[in-house]
Amino acid sequence: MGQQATVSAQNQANQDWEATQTAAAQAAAQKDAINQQKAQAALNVAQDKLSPANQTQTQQTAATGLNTQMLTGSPAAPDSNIKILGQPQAGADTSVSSDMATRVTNAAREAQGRIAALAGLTSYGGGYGDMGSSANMALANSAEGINLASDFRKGDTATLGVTQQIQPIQYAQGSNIAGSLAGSLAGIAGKGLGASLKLANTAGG
Amino acid sequence: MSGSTPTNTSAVDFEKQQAAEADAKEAARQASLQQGQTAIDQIFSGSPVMGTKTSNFDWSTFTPGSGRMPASGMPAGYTAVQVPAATTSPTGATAPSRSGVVGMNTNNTPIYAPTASAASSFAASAPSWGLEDASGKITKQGDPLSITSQYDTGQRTGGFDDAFYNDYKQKVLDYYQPDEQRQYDQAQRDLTYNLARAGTLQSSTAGDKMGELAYNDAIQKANIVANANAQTGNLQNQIQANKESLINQLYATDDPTLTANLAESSAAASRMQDPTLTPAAGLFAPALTAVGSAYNAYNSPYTVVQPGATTNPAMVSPTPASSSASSGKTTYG
Repeated sequence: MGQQATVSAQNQANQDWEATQTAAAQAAAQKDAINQQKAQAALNVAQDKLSPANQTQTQQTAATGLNTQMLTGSPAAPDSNIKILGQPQAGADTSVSSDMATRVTNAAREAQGRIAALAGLTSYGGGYGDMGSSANMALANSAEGINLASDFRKGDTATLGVTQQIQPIQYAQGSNIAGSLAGSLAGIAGKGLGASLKLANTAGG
Repeated sequence: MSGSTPTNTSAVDFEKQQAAEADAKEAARQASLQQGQTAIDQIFSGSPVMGTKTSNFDWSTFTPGSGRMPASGMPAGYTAVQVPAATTSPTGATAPSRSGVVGMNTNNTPIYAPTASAASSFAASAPSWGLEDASGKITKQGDPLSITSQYDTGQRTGGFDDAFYNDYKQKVLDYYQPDEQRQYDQAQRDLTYNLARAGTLQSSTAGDKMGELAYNDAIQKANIVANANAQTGNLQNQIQANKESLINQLYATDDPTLTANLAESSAAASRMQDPTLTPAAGLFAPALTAVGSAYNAYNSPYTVVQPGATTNPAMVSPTPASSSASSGKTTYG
């Protein structure tokens, strides 16, 4: 009768332990899934910003903006008055001043082409708001989110590890052999379940 | 010892205590990290600008309490309460009145007694749920309820925004552009003088030189913008590096207050940073040098230029006097 009671008590203790461990593993798995989703969300934002289409768009926007800035107040600006040195002297041949204006205009047009190339080149990287810096910022921001989620996952896993160290309560009946048996059974059950929970957690994470 | 007795209760209790402490410590650590990360984000990227909007409350998001489960889905500033179902008018337009709390539900929500006049007729009614605002007004579940809520406008205030970086870039431009303009004006004046001295002010040579000067002016202006943009990009990278360093310190210390203070200091230092400015070198020297050479060549009594010679374009347009009378004077063709 005493032996039976011990076995029953041990079984109940094992079941309680199993329920506790299962609940802890499930809670940890839920937290892990949430943090994994947060990390994935941060990664998705970066992936979106780093897509070829978006990077090309960023580069082109930067190139247009830079070109506009570079031509502001420039003699190469299409709508600016091209400054001509001096004024044609009175009585001077108008063909001279006309030729002069043409040469200056041509020089300004050449400058426009080179400035557009400079703006395009600069828009790829090395400046503010260009493709390179935008990509770096996107990666830095995603790294922040991913690192935070990763740190949380490590912490939760470590906490689960502490919980998994909790042993089941072991019952013994005096010096009866049943008590030893019950203890052995509890130990085996604990190890077996602990291993399976670790496996489940690994698979979940 | 005929009964069964636990043999490791103390050890198990200790392990449970350890696990509970580890759990609480980890929760506190994560909250601390999250707080610190948010603080750093707001210091560097600005705080969200919240707007307010008024809308009708969607009762489908409200879940009344049941058994031991408390009510959920209440809008901010409202409390879920249980009231006798018939304490409102049939149209639901009038807020129910109550005479006081007569008890608590199992989910810790108050139960109000109906007014004395209504008590008799409502005594048999089943209680229903409603929401109570700060003033005590109760709106029965399902009745129209206008709520004011806050939402993120997507805008940010403070931090290192475009305005900050554009201001920095403008400082660089303000330093270099006037110098470039001054040098351009000087080169323009010198070129005019040189051309006048050479007697080529109204010549195709003058056109070429003016064009070259204008070309250089345009390119120099563009280079200044490119330089300002690069310096602004460097500043942005540096600020980003500062932010990452602070986040690393946050992880190392788990102290959001310390890290936030460091972030404030770093941000303030970044705001005071001056651009790297160096005096602009001579930007238009080549154009003037060429004119000077032409001027010197024209005025040298030893220069003999054959009409039609094209080795030096600057010397083509002015037509020198005949070789026999090469006194340095030029005529215009």
